[in-house]
Amino acid sequence: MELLKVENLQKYYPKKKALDNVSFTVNQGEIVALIGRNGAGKTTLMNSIVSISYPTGGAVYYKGENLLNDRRGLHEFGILINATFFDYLSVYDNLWLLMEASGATDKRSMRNTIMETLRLVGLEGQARQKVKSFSFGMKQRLGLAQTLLVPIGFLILDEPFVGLDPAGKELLKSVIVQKAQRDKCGILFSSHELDDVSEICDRIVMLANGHKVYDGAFHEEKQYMVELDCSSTIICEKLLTDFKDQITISENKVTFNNRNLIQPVLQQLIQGSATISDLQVHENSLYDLFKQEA
Amino acid sequence: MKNNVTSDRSSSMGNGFLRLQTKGLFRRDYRIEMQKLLKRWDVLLLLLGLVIPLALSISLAAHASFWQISAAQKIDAVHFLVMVTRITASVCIFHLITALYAARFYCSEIENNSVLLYVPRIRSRSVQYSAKFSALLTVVTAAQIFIDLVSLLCFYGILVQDRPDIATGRGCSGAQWGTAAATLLAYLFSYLVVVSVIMGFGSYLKMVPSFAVCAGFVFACQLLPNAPAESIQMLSPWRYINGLGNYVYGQTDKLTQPELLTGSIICFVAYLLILSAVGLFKFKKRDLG
Repeated sequence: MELLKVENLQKYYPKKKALDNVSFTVNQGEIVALIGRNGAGKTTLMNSIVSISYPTGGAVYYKGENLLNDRRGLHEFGILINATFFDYLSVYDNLWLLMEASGATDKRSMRNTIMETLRLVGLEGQARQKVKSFSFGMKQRLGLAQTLLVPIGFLILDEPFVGLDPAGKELLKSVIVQKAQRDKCGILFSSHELDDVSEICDRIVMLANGHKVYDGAFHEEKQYMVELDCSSTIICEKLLTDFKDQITISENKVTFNNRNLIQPVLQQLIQGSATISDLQVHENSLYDLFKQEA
Repeated sequence: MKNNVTSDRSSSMGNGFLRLQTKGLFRRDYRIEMQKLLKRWDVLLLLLGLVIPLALSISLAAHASFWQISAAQKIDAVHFLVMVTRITASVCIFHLITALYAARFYCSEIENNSVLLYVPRIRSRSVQYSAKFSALLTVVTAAQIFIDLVSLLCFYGILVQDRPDIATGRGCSGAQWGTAAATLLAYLFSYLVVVSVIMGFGSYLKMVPSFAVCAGFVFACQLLPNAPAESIQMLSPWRYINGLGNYVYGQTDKLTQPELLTGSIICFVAYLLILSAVGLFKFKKRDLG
C-alpha cells in the first residue's frame, strides 16, 4: 500500500533550484533511504514534506491526502530532522511537552510512555538531567526517543546515525527495521553512512543538485575475479566450457558472481595447468552507485 | 507550475468546527508555552523591577537624604505606587530586560530550530505564534502585578511603620485609585508594546538585531514625549504614563484623564495589532529550519 507520495516537488530559491520536480513513493512497511552529496537537497526535501519549509510547487500525499493543504496527517509522523530540544528543560520535560503537543492527555500513560521510550533508547537514567548537559550522541538518542514517543505511521529521519556510537547505531537500525516490519511504518531516512544504508533499506532514492537521479532497490553483489597468465587465456576458455553461461572471460580475467563457482572453476583451471596470477573479490557496493550517480 | 500550497489558515480556520478545534489547539499550545516560559531561569529577570520599590522604601525608611519628601506632603499607597511606576518607567532598563527575556524566548527558538519541534505537530503556525505571544504577555503582566503588590507591601510594611512622618496608611479615595490604576495600566501597556516589538521583528531578525531594534524603539519612546508636535508625542506609551501620573500628583495635563487612558489603550492596541500582523505574517510564511 502506498503511504507517502511525493509528486513533482519543487523548492526554488532566487538563485538555486534546491528541488526540481522530485517524485517518489514510500510504501507501507518499506524503508527508503535518501542519499546524495552535501547540498543535494535531502534535508530540503524532508523539511518540505513535513511543512517546516514551504515548497514552491508540487504535492505531498500521505494516505491520499495532500499534506501541504491539510496537515492533520503529520500527527502520524515521527520526525527527526536536526534533533533540537529545549536545552533549559530536562529530558523528561522535553518529552512531556512534546506528548502534550501531540494531543496526549492521560498523565499516567504519558509518564509510562516516556519512561518506556527512554528505556528503549538507553536514557532512562538521565530522565531528570537537563538536555544542555548532553553530548551530541545522547542528543541523537533523545531525538530518536522524540520520534518514537507517539504511535506513528511514518518515520522521517535526517542523518540519524550521525554522532551515535556503534551500540547506538545498532539500536537505531533495529528500531527502524522493527518499525517497518512489525508496525508496518513507512520510513524515509537520509544518511551518508552507506554501509548502514545498504544494510537496512529496501529502496534507494538518490538526489543530485535537486534532481532525483536514482530510484530503485539496491543489493550488494560480490564479484569474483581470477587473473591468469596471458599464455593461459586461450586454454582457459576450453577448460571452463561447462561454466560458460555463468562466467565472463575477457582478456586474461575470469569473472563470476556465484560464490559456489569458486572451487570448481579454480579446480578446473589448476587441473588444466593454467597459471593463476591473482584472485580478487570485488564488492559491487553502494559506494560505486553513489560515485557513479551522485 | 502554480504553487498548490495553501496557508495553514485555510486548513485550520475553514469552518465552525475547525475554529472550535483551533480554540482547543490554542489552549493546549498556550499551556505548553507557559510551562516553557516559567521553567526558564531568566523569568527571574522580570522580577528585577522589585529593586525599585524595595530600594525606595528602604532608603526612605533609612532617612536617605536624596529623597525630598517633606512632612507636609504625606504620601499614601497610591502616590507610592505611582512614584515607583514613574521611576521605573524613566529608567528604561526594565523595559530592556523584558525585551531581552522575550527575545531570548522567541528569537532563540527560531535561531536554534527548537521551534521546529512543534511545527509539524501543532499544524497551525498562527496558533503557535498566538500561543507564544499570549504566554509572553501573560508572564510579563503577572510579573508587573506581582511587583505592584510587593510595592504595596513595602509601603505598608516598611514606610508606614518606620516613617509615619512622611507616609500615611489612610485609605485613598476611589477616584485616586482609579487614576492610579489607569497609570499602572498605561505602564503595563508599555511593557506589552515592548513584547509586541520583539515578536514583530523577531520573525524577521535574529535575537541580537531584534533586541537592538527594540532598544532603539524604547529609547525613541522615552524621547518622544518631548517632541514639539502633539501628534508625535501620542505615539509613545510613556506620554500617557507621565500624563496620568501628573493627575495623581494633583498636577494637570493638556489631555484629560479619560483622554489619556483612551489614548493609552488605542496606542497599545495599534502597536499590538500592527506588530502582531507583521510578525505573524512572516512566521507563517517563512521557512523554518
